[in-house]
Amino acid sequence: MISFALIGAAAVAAAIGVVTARHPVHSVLWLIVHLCSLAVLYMTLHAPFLGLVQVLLYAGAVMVLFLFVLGLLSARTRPDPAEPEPLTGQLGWTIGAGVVIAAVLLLAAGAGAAGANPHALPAGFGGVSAFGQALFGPYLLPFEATALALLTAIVGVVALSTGHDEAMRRPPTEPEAEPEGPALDVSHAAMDPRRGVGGGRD
Amino acid sequence: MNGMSLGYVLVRSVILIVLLMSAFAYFMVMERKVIGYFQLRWGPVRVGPWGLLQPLADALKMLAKEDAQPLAADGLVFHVAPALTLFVALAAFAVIPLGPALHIGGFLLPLSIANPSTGLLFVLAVASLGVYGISLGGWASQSKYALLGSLRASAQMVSYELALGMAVISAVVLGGSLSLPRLVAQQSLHTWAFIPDILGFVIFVICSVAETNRAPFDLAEAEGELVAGFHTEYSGFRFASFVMAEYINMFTLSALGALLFLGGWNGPFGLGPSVWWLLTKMALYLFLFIWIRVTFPRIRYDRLMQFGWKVLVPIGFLNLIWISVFVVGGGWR
Repeated sequence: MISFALIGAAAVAAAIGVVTARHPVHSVLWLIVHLCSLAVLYMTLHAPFLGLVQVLLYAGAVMVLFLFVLGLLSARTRPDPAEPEPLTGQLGWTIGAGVVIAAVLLLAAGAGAAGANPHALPAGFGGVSAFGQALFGPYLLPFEATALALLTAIVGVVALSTGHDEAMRRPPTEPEAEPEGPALDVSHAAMDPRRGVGGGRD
Repeated sequence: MNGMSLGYVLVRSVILIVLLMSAFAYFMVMERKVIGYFQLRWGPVRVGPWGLLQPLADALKMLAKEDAQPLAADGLVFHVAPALTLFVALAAFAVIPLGPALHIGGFLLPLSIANPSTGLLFVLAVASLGVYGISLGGWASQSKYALLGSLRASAQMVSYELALGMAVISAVVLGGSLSLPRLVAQQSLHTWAFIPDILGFVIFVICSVAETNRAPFDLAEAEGELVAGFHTEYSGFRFASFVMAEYINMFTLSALGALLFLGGWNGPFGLGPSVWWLLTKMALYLFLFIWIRVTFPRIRYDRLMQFGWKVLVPIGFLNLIWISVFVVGGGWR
């Protein structure tokens, strides 16, 4: 219980860090800390498999993509501490909304805790086989529907990103035929001071 | 002693860290010697007899060097990145069992820090965090070479993690467990896992070279194009942390390869279990790392990504289907 409270506090602190950090990359780092503390919370709640998958997928894969994009976009920009807040009054609204959500969650948790018995977990709860049987048993249809939705999203992204850009249509498999290979091109972009890092070929 | 008290775990952790560090130091010497012999030269011979004190000299040099930091660098992230890389590398080894627990005069010595039932998943989850040290180190340096190197490294590591996962899953399906000791026990009952799962083993070996960013997949630090990649701006002990993490990751992956595919601590031809078998297999696996490094030229970056996504991942899926058919059709049982 004490460890749960400590890690919960760490998760909340990291979440506050996400919204208060001025540099986007620092926000991503706080988010990674937050996701890792959530994983530990799952483990203290007898769901070790979910905790590990949380680290493996969210912290280990999804956030790498975030870091990738933000690291490239903000490679040269340093936030100016004297710069005024672009969204005026957001702090008050955020705190207000946070208090309301916390109150609702506390009420819900209180209502749930009244009826539940935390010591009556079935054997093997949260383990790999229990998790797999739930996922491929009662929740098979929602699980497959999610997979289909994600597949649709991937196809959509591919269609959108290749539709209108001639440069993207060139087959990347024949670099020998081109005077400039892709690797060479990237280093040229990096050498050019006007473009900056990751300027690409556009 | 039940092997679970906090103090005992701490003592074993310290011993493991010391062991890993000294293994790193002498593996470095071995690598330089072996590469030397491959290239018809001597390797390090000057410091100590047969060059054996070379790691001490290197350590002193690293500790005494100036801890330089670029002016534009992001201070905190620049300092955290090497520590994070090394921490993740050491933490992943914590659940690797080196052998069955030893009984020394009624004193139980388990040969891993922890033995969770999902130990394999723990290794993969922790190892997947290793990419942050590299990408953050490159980003925080605020230098073009470092940023490009770290982007290459993280794209490569994330891509090859998928094929590596496929190979690992095939071994898991075959053994029917996520616990490393149980997977080894399954192999001692039947045959070593690489016999039905040879494709999985080959994919695992290739991916382990790519995951540790070693030649011929060391595009992240291709010195001809990127100076030294993500650690260009690092010096002294922070630089050493990156190198140490790379080698400790090699140890972890070689131990994992031996445990998953090569029968773990079981001897060949039905010989009994021993820690030494596992260490021998790890040593052979590490020698293979060096052999690959001196034999193959560095491959081009676009070829590397294509090879990962268009060759290894599909073969990994097909192999997984074959192993599933093997297991459903009776398999080892």
